[in-house]
Amino acid sequence: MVTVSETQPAPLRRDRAHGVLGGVCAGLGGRLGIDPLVLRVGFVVAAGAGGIGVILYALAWALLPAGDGDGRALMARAAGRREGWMVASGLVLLMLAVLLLFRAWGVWVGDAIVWPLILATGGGALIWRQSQGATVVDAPARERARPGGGAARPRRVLRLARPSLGIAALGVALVVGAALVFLWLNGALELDRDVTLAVLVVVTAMTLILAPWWLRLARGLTEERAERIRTQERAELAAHLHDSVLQTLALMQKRAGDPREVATLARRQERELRTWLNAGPRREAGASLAAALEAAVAEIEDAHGVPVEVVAVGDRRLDERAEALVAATREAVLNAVKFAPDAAISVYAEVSGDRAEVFVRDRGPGFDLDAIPPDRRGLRESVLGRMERHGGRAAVHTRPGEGTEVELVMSS
Amino acid sequence: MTPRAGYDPASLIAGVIVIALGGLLLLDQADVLELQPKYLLPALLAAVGGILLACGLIGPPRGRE
Repeated sequence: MVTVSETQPAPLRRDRAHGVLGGVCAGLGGRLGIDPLVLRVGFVVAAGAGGIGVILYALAWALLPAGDGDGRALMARAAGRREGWMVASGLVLLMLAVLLLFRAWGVWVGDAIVWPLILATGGGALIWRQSQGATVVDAPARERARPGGGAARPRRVLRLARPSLGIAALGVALVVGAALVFLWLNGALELDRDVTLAVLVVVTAMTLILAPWWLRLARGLTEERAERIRTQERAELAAHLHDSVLQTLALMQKRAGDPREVATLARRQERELRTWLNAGPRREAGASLAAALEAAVAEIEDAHGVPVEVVAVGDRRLDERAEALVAATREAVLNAVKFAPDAAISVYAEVSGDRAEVFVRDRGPGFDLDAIPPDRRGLRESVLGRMERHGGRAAVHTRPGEGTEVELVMSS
Repeated sequence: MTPRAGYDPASLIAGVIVIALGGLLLLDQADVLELQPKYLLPALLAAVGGILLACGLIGPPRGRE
């Protein structure tokens, strides 16, 4: 199931459980914090004024997904079908028929108001829908199940609404058309006909001139964004493989003399890799940053037989960013264990409000940062790169002979 | 009754709508009822809209997919 990211606001939906007809007023009221009864009265009053309320309600019903449905609006479901244009055209014609009936019965506030309002509402609805733009969602299970489709955590992907450009342009055209129709029906265009015509011609000419350039720019931006996402995904994949498979292989080489230990390491790595490929690790409900840090350090202590002191002050929920912080800390500790196995190693974590800081210190030989070969990815990708990708920062303070301190800071 | 292969519900609905519209016009011609011009356009739009909606929602006939 595709779920919206936690950082996104709750989507506007129809609330059929508390609704009278289609749950439009209940859903709107719940989202806006208004009593649905007020909205219902408003729709009824608008319905009496030329049937506008009926049309608006029908539009909202078609455009808003049901809260207890499959998460898609009727129009969205229709658009997903091959015959989506038929459904859309059919709905528009039926609404038009209802409007003309109201007009014939005399329940009408006037052409100068109703038609522009209908056009503007339709255009506004299209623009509003498309302005949601790219949405960050959890990757569908089928994608996570693909080899290479997984990541160190439930993967977030950016869905880019490809046809949104054309639909948004149609919405803009409808709104502009509504404004022009309103002005025309109210006689506002007659006084300055020459000026209006000149403005229209210039706007049309400018649109024709700029449209190709604007389209290229929009497509370029979309492609650039997609490429950036792909690069980040590749970096995450490389960092995970480095932290897990490569580290285990190095450990197996180190313990080649103990076949039982090597087999245990291989089994553990296989299990971890299979879990990651299939669905990613399950995040336990209520898991905390401090507990995850202690578990990661304990795992390294067990695998390498090197004591590491952990002190954690404060705590926070283990979310995606906290998991990245734990993974970066784990890699920093692993580096310390590998390059300063006989020195005292400590991890100090402090959580204050939205800010979490972790310091990994060792009193080992230290090193020259500039002397690290470019093909060594541990510190560069698994620590510095990972923190940067998740909105945090990392710094390494070290000099040859003076030990090393890795500073990791993550704000939520 | 078991539907025949190739049975198309969308066509059936479209046919019923067109027959209803035709019946309405026939009754008007026979002076059984007086269909005012201001109701003719909504009726036509509703008929076309209903046919499009039926075809779009129901999709291709069974047996063709």
